[in-house]
Amino acid sequence: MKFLLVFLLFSHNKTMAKDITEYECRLAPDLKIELSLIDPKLPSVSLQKKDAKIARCFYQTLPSSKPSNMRNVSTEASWNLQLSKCETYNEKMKSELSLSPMASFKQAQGASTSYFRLFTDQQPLLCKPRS
Amino acid sequence: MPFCDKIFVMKKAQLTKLLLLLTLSTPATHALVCPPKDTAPLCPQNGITLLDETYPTQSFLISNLPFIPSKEGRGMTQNFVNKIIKNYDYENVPQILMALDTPEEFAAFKEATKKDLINKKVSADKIEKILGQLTHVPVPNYNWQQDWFESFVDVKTGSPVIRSMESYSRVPPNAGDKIEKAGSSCNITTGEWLKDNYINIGDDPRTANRSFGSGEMGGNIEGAPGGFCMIGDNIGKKLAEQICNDKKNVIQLQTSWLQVGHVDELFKIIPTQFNDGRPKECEFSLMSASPKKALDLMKNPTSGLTSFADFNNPDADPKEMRESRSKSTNAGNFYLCNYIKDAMLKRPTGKKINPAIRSVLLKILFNNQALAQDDAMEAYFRNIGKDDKELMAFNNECAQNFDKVSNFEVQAMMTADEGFMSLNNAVDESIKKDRELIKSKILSRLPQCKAWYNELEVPNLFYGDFPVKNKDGKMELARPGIANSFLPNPTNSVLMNKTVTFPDTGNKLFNSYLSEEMAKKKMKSDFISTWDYAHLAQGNIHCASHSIPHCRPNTKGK
Repeated sequence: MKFLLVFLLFSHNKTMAKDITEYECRLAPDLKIELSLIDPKLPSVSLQKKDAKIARCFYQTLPSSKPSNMRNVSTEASWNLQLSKCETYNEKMKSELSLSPMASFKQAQGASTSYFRLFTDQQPLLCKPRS
Repeated sequence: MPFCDKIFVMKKAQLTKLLLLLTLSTPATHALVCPPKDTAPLCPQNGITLLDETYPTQSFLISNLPFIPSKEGRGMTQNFVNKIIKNYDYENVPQILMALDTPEEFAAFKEATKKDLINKKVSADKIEKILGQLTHVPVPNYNWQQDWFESFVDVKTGSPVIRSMESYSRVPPNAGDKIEKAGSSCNITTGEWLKDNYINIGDDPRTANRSFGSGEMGGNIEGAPGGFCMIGDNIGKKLAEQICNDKKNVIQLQTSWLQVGHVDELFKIIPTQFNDGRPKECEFSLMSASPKKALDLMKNPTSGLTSFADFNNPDADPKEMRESRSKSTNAGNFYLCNYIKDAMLKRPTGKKINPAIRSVLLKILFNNQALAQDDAMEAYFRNIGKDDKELMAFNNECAQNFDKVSNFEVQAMMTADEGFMSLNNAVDESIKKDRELIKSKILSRLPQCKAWYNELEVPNLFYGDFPVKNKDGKMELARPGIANSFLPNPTNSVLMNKTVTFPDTGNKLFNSYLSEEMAKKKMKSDFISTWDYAHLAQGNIHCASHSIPHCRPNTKGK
């Protein structure tokens, strides 16, 4: 019985810690940005304006990414990312929404907030886990 | 090992423990002496209960948890204790609270302190008095003693009041009570907890005036002359009110562009002893981090020729030092190693690669956008996908060459890196604005200090996120950001009596500059090796310790 309880607690915590792999950020009400960390080595980013897909690109995770900020009380991972390739990128929107060659993602767990630095001319965007 | 030997070793260990405990309970050890209240400056009268560093320290708090357990990391805490004692000239040493898990570990520290004092030929009576100032705080070892609470003062008594951070969960909830108990004979008490001002997932805390990131920590709260408190932009409005008592006392500074994001990474108030007729309340200086100062020092045609890294450090093992300064798992090390590599290649005997040309190529490659540390990054990317052997070779080469390049050469590589310059110029701009803000606030309450107002820019270089081009075309720092300092950070220092104990930057040129500047202020300087204990874990000696100040109660009004 004790073993079962410990197992359940452990597996629950483990799930909580690693579950969130998809985030959504908004630059404007009609401009949705989706970040997927399903493949941690090659996170993907999708830009969508209303129903039109603007871009789908992949970022390579750099080894300087840290699983946690050693000073933060809540678990906070720092992702340092380098633009790798784009499957699609609407040519007309490229200058307006210029994806940065270097991106960073401050991923927080629990009640903390996560931020994605994605565009050259924009402050990091607040991101929420995708429901 | 034979069984009998095992038993002997166990018995020997137990005997040592017993002897250490006996040493502890020796009646010859003097009782704790509390600091005199009547010599301290008067407590603030504007309602603020946070003191700046011109007030004397009643107690120091330190633990023992090195990030890397090298010789340097393991020796840091003992070094810190020895330096406190030395810098108080072996007399009137404040209480030294040692947050350690076991009485055995405390006893071992006490014994090592005693040995050090005997070696220094300190008299037996003084030694006993000094050892009486060491107090055990029985809590788990933890490195960031600055962060889990803030030390305030009861202005009616002048005694310290410890207020724990509600949002800080990495120390036991009763840690404040343990400090209170250990400091009770000198009237340290615990006060109301500082209530959490973080936000649940939803609104953006940056626009909702709420805390974010590592904002709610003691290192992000510093007192300033005139009854002000300096806090980071990542601290929420409601927490600021709890800390500063009144919004009129708040000086909110730009800190969230840093990975950790604390005021003590960028600014520090230190006392001065100019003794040139200026009012007593004007005897202070504002230290601030400055990439420009670092580069100016490094490009000096004479002194810039000194080695960028100084490995002549008796507190560290030379082999371990080379390893911990060149491991690429630390991004700062990695960038530095690339600058060093490029500097070596640029020499007449090396294969020439012009970093400026490389930057231009990279700009074309990356759609004409600026990169952070582009030269270093480019080389970093070259390493990705290659096998570990190559990365190891890169690290080994860096370890060998780390102390073979001059400040001038490293500076040349850094300034040719557009991304590095873009970030560090934006840092200089942000700090300059905040320096002006601090000055205007302090002088608004201490106008008599205008002619004497003193500032000191200290060398500090940063790596991290590239800045954002705002609507006016100006570059501003990304918030929250991921910036960190390359070398141990001079503003993250600890005042010990009339000595500013800086983290050893590992760079002789920077250390000499800091010593000279302290001498100009009639202050002393000291250096402590912290690279493995704290620097690699994104903090430094100020973050790893806590100075608990006190003041003289103002009895005139009574």
